[in-house]
Amino acid sequence: MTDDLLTIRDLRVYFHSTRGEYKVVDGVNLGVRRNEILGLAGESGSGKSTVIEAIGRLIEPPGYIAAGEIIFKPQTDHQPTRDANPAFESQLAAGVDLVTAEQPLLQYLRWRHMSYIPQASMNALNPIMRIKRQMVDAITAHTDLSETDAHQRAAEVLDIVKLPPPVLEAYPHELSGGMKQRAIIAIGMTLNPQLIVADEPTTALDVNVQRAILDALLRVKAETDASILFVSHDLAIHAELVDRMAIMYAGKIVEVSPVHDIFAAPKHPYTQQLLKSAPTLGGERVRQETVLGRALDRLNWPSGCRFHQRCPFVMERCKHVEPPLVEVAPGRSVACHLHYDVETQQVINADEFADGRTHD
Amino acid sequence: MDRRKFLRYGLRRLAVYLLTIWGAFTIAFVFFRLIPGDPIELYYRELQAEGFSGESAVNDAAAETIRERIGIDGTIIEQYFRFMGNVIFRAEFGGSILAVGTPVRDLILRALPWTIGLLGLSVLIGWVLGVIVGGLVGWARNSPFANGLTTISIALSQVPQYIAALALLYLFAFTLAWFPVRNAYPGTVIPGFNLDFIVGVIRHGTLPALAIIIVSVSGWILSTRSLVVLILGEDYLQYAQSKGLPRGYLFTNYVLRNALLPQITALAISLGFIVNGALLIETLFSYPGLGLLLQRAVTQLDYNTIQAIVLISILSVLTANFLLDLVLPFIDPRVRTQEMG
Repeated sequence: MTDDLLTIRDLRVYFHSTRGEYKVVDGVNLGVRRNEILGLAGESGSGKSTVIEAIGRLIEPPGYIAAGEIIFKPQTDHQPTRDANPAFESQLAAGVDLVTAEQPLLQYLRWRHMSYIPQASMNALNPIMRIKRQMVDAITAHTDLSETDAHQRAAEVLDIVKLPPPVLEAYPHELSGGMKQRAIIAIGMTLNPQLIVADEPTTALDVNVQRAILDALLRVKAETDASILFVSHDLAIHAELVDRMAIMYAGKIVEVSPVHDIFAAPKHPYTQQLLKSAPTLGGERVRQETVLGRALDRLNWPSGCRFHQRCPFVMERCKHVEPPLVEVAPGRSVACHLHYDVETQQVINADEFADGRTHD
Repeated sequence: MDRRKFLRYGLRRLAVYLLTIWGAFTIAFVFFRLIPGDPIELYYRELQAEGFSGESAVNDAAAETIRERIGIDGTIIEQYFRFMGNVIFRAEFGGSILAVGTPVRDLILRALPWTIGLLGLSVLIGWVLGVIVGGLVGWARNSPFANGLTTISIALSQVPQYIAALALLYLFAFTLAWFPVRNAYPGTVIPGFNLDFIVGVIRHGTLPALAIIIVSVSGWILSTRSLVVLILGEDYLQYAQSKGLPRGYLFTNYVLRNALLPQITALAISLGFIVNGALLIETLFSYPGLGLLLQRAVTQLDYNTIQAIVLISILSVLTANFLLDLVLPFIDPRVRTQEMG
């Protein structure tokens, strides 16, 4: 058993419909280490946000967690001043499966150990409550801090995201989009949780605000030893922010690597195409490449490797056998038959494919 | 909130309120003059039909006297200014035909408290119950109990109030005789602050109030439920849930408070319409409020009384809206920003 902060094993999240089960997340394996920023990237509809919601146990009907486990193992001696519940804390120290955790334990660990920065933060704040109240209510629900101390704490975290104290007295509609987003990041930091899951916190914001938010997240990581699971489809942001990066495709993780390696030499053909589709600054003006084909039908995933219809290196095996996610080099995992022979259980040295040449 | 800004906002609203009253009253005045037929002649024919042995044709002098008394003499312009002056500055609606010799104002003042008491209280009770139950039903929307309650509410909300009233009358007044059939209090007690009178008023008011509440509460349950279900899908609720807040706090501060805002508006509007709602219920229970008065005035073609009740119902709708305008900025910060900058 690893000592990762969060370990996701074979997570499956389905949405029930009259046409069948939408397998939005269908067998995700992923670990978040302590004090790292893990980036989760992938195209729209690949299931990134659903993974995040499953971690927070925020899946609403008709969605449900069909299988898998999400082991969360925070270090519980982290903040001795809180009115901690010893029974819950010892359970957490041993590792708790968030999929099966009972409501009282969930309510206990939320925000204290794990906070959530939602995707649509434009509407994430209660429109008729002052920012102050919405920060203080989370603090007083989880600690025995007095109202005054809670205000103090709220002002402190607002300062980390560079928001002035008057924001405390404001209502959400009095703030700009960027200010709301930063306020939400601040709210996520109030109790120094060990895990912050952030779902596209920079989407739809201008680059200046993006910069401020990335800086805020980096400061959080540096100052509180927190780990951040960061979801975005913006590859440039991943390159700047994250330590490791996981690529999601069709409800599965297809590649996990340190961010530098993944940009330097992507292993999975999907990752290669994804990176090529991102524009670069400077150099020749070239026509931007796109990933071939369309996104898939989540009711009926293709058999074998889910990428085989769009893959330039497709082999016969890809159409029938699903490739497992295997560590093929130190710290680098990929789910692809080009890199791992499932029959001989041998890693294939497939670096000649890394630059995207077709093998004909 | 900035006091001066609120004062300016309030004055602006007041101006709009007064202007609307003027406009609505003018339209009412015009409509009443558009009713075909001469009220005096109708009145006279009515008397003859009842066996009144007088002159067979309307005596011109007598007719003129009655016209003067009910304020329809002179040109239309004269009538208009006299009407506005009387109604707005003196709250004077002229003499009644229903009870000759009694001014309409007195009839209204006698009936108004009963209507406000019965209808106002019933609407209020229905609202409070409906919002609380509807909130809980929405909050627990997947439980069988909540679903059952929703189904019952859908059925009840479609029952016309008079059917509910007739059913209650038949069951509890005629068959079981637990409650009286008519009037607002027993004829044997002296109105005033004494126990017999108060108990009597409550006993007489129970059935008509129940008829109103049963139907209105189911409407409030359904509307509150659908508001709550919408809020349950809001991002801010999912976010608040992820903060690990206690469920009771989530329900009161995030769900119910947001659902309450549109419901307060709806309450003000239905309070404004109580005079209209009084007609059927008060007639069925012979309850001496404005509704019964209106019914009697219509059957006897009591021009001034009908007009007065119409004006009062206009006034109550407009007043409810005006008060709502004054209250909203205090309960919804977004209105505050929008209206007062």
